[in-house]
This record gives sequence, C-alpha cells and structure tokens, in this order.
Amino acid sequence: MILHVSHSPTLADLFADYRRAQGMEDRNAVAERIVATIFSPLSLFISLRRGIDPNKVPDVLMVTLTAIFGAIPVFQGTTHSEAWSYCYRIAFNKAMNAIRKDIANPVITVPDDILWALVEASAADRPFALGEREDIDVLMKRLKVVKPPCVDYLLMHYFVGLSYEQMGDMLDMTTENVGATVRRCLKLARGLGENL
Amino acid sequence: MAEDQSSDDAKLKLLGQRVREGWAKLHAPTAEHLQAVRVIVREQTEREQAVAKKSLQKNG
Repeated sequence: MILHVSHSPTLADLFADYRRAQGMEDRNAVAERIVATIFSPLSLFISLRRGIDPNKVPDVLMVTLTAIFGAIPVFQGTTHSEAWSYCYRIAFNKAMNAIRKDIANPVITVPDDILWALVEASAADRPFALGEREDIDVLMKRLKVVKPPCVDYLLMHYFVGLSYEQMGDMLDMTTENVGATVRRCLKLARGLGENL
Repeated sequence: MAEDQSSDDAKLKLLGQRVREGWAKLHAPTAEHLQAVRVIVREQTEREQAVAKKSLQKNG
C-alpha cells in the first residue's frame, strides 16, 4: 500500500504511485485518485475547445483518459506542472481530432446560461462578494465579443486555469509569447467592452 | 491603463475560479469513464505480470 501522509500528493506523485503499485487492487485505487484529480479540469478544458460538439465531449474525454493511463508507465516527467502539461497535451490532441472531423459543422460552445449555471453552483458554497455578480456580468459580455483565437487564450488561461508555461508547452509557443498574447487579448477585451 | 488591466486580470481569475468550482460540482467522473480506466489498468497489469513471469522462467 502506498500512502502520502504529510501532504496532499501532486499529480506527479500520483503517477509515480501508479507506476509503483503492485497488483490490480492497489493500482485501481491509485487510478481512481488520478481520475478524481484530472476528470473535472480535463472535461472543462475539452468542453471549452472552440468548435467541439458538446455531444462528443464524453467520448473525447474517454479516449483522453485511456491515452493518459496507457502512457503513464512511460511518462518521464517528475513535476506537478509536467504531469498536468502531459494530460492537457493529450486532451488537446484528442479534442483537435474530434474538431477536425466536425470542421464542416462547427458548434459554438459554452453559452452564457451554462457559464452562469457554473458560477451559481460555486456560489452555493462561496456566496458572491458585494458587486461581484455585476463584475461577472461585465466580464461575460466582454468575453462574448472577443473573437478567436483571443477568446481561446483567455478561456484557457482564466477559466481552465492553465499557466503560461503549460499553454506554451501545448501550443508550441514560448512562455513569454503566451503571456504577451494573453495580455494583448485582455486589453482587446477591455477595448471591445467599452463599446458595449 | 495598466491598473485597469491588472484589475481585469484579478476579476477574471476570480471568475475562472468560480467556473472551475461550479464545473467540478456538476461534472463528476461517470461510471463509464471509471470502467474504461479499470479496463486499461487490468490490461496493463496483466501485460506486466506476463512479462515478469516470462522473465522468471527464462532466468530460472
């Protein structure tokens, strides 16, 4: 049995535990912890890919999880960030494959009502601060008018929570370049928002 | 101007945190996804056990 008692394990720790686990029972136990850690962030990431058919998200998630677990035994990274980058890179490629197949019929994803439903769900545990709801309303209106690819950068960085480094790794860009692009897109969103 | 940008950045980070929290509440792993992972785990473990057994037979 592999235990981490001093702190909550990082994703890289969980991958290492998975590789070390002997026997099906131990390995399944670690696998479930990995799924519990990565499922929600990856499903959000895939759902926010522009052009993906929402009906295909569960299938893309399925092939993503299968690919991730298939390659954990040979995963070379040792840090939390490397482990996450590895997962997002696989999810990105699988989502792109699904989008390419649907390219003739691109679907606009994550409408306002869905975003609001997520925000309201979070407010059940963490009530809104004074004025926060109004701020969110303004931000959502701005995001709605930002065109691709800027909106993609903003959603990946702010909503999915990817670091510049992780985005750079996934998109084959330097960290500095990603940072500059996100800042430019943020400025653009503010500029467009002023005309609303 | 730089102040506006930094305030937008902070507000978007807060909004992002809410989106992730809400998403996690509404999107838990499904039985189908967990089952697919169990299949991979079983295949991997069986493959490794077969290799270990072969190597044991070879060496001794």
